[in-house]
Amino acid sequence: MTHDSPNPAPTPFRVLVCDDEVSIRAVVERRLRAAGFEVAAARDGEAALELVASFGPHVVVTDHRMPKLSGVAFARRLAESPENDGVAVILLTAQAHTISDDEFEGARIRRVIEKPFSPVRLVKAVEELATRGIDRGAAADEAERAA
Amino acid sequence: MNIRRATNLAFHLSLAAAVGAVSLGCAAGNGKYTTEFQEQATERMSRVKAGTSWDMARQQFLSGDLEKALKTVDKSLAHASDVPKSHVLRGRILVELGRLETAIDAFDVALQIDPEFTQAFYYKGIVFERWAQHERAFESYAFAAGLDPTDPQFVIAAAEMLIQMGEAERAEAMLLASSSNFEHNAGVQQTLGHLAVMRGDLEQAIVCFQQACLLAPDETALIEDLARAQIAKRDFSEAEYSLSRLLRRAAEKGDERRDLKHLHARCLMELDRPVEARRLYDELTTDDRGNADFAAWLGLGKTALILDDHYRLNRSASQLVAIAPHRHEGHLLRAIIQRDSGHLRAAARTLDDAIQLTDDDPEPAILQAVIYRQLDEPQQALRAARLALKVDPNNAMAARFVREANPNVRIADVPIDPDN
Repeated sequence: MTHDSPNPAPTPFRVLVCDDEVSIRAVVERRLRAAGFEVAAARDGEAALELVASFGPHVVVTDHRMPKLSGVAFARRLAESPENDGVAVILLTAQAHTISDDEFEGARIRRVIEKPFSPVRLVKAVEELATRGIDRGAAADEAERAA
Repeated sequence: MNIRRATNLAFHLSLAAAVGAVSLGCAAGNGKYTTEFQEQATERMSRVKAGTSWDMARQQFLSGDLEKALKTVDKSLAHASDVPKSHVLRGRILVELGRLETAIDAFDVALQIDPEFTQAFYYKGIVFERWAQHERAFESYAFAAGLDPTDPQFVIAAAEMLIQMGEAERAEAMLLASSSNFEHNAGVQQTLGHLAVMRGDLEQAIVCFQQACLLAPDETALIEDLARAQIAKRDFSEAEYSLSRLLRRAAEKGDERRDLKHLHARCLMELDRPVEARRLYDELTTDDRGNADFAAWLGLGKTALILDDHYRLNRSASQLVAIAPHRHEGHLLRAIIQRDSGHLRAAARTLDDAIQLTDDDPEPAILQAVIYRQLDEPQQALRAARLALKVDPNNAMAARFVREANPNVRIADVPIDPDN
């Protein structure tokens, strides 16, 4: 990883990117790889769920508006399995205000990034999770999201 | 073999050997560099040719010669196929040719070459917008805006998509968030103005459009937005000034803006300047298109009424009945002419037609009530007034008629249905 981490992870930090728009997905993938993360990508929530078991991501970056399964629905499905307990989700959306608290409930979404977003900001968000450690930052993120 | 022949043979052999050695040397050593140099020179030449063709294609595209532009940009791509801006130009030409699927392919090729080629995202957004896929269009525009936060066109396009999606508040929040970067951008101010119009804040809209006009004084679309907002706010004096500027510029360019002339005439009427309005309506009704321009003939008729211009009033009434016999306005004007010339009975009959043809204008019924009163037929006058009230229950004049005919009856008790 290119960032300075006080406690570098023993294994590469893995990020799964999920977006139905191939060209957007390609840029996000590229930026995250350039920042030193190991990256896998899926074109929708269902494909992403299949990848989770084999890839074992630390963080999932998902678009909200997708066919088949929305980003939030995908996050909820992800959170249903105890083996994904350590996986943090970053949701990219233009419609955060339309997602109810009930929908968020149980989705284990750690960050919501509103569109338009700069890829630099996204990479920074993933880096923060990688640096602070997913579990240590969860409470703070929850408080931030609620605010 | 004599010595001379032997010497000659030796000379020829050594010459052949030398030539052979040079040839072999070239193939094995210097030739490599020569080939590389030649390849580089060819490559450089191809790039130059590609660039020249690209420039030419762009000019052809901008001048609207789309087929030629497509051929030229293909020529450019034949020289250098790995230039994303050439694929984007190709896509833009295809968009204008209506070949949207192929255009998307061209933008995707550009993104395969350079995944962060912002313009390709932007133009993909335009294609999605043409397909009315507003969410996908927003995604593309917003992503372009995120990749290049310095270019206001991306964030404006994204905000416009949010407006299309019925998310005006979010569009405004997004523009305001970015307005520190684009404080002096006319497009941002214009879009903020449109949003203010949508939420009914005409005052704020006018401020935004005025700001936009100051930032881009040559942009006539901004003056037009300003004029329309001023009319909506009933600030006819300012609107008249804006429209005069616009019409002057349109005349300079040779553009015929009948819509703006209509607005200008309306402002002049509101400002109690019917003579100038009549001149505009005269212009609007005299050319070929004017023959069928209902609004222009109606405007001419109204100015003629105010100015007591019988000649134009007659012409307007006849033309309105001819081009729109199923609308009531022409019949109403005809009835006014008949009444003014003393043919009250004919006027009342003409008004029967006008009343039949409208369900939202009480005027024909009110005029008929007035005429029946002149004819000393109070029952018919009352009937006509009731018809007017049926169309517009709050019409004060019709109510007065009914009250005068039945002094003891409250207006609320007057049956609206005239058959009752």
